[in-house]
Amino acid sequence: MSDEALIQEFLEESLESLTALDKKISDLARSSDIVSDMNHVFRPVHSIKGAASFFKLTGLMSMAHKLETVLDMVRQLKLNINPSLVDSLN
Amino acid sequence: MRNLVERGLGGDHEPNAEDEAFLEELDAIMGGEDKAAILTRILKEVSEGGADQLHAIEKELRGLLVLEEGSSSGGEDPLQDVVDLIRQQIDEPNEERVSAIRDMIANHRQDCCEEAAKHLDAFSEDFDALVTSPVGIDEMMAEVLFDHLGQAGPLLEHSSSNNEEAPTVAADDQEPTVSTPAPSSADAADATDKKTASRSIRVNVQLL
Repeated sequence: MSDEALIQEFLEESLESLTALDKKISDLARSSDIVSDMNHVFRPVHSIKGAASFFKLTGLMSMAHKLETVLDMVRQLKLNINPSLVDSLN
Repeated sequence: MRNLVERGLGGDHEPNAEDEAFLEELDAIMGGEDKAAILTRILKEVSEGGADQLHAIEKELRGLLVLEEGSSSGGEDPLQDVVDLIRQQIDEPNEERVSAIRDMIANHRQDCCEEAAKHLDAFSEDFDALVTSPVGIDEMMAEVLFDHLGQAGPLLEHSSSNNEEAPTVAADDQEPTVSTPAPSSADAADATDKKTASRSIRVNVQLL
């Protein structure tokens, strides 16, 4: 499989993950266990960051990295999840 | 991010203006921007804008809260030496320096809290992957490493200050360590409220 085909496959999988992520992020505002639920949001973003770095998709990697950092801050309760933040993340 | 991925499927991998705006928004949220710059822009938006700008201003302030929290410890970053070595490693890769960085991280890892250990482990994992890859550490990937250190640093500082404040006990008098029970969710919520209130006060004072 060529690099281009691998990248296409990765992007298609990422698109599926991100589509599922929208709902998970929206649900976070009503979560009773933010740390656990945030892990379900954090992992796919972390995976996308790693693969984007591998494929040298710097724009996507940078975005995933920053998003991951913000999500980690929520996970560590450094940021409060609220409708405004959910709106930003979506 | 979904838009960027969708465009990538069409062969366009470059971020557009909308992506850049999202990145700036994330920067503001996580406090990646200079405080003075944020305040200047907020003041400009307040003086020029109307009610429709309030949502954007709220986001800016939220980012500032995070920034303030990050800078509130005031102490010297205990991982600054590691940061300096990584910067040198970008310019001039060196095996001995790699070992030195690993040793320094291992030293910090020995007696730090669990949360700091988690960030140091993440750092070690990424660091090892980078130094063993043919590409090595470049400016972009170094940011990932610095991010781990940035998360661990304040926790190490906190651990260190806690240790300093702890009363000294003679070895013969030492009792077995008893772990502190986790706070109840009500206590945690109360603590979070107090923390948020405290941060709000600091920002208000700064704005004044």
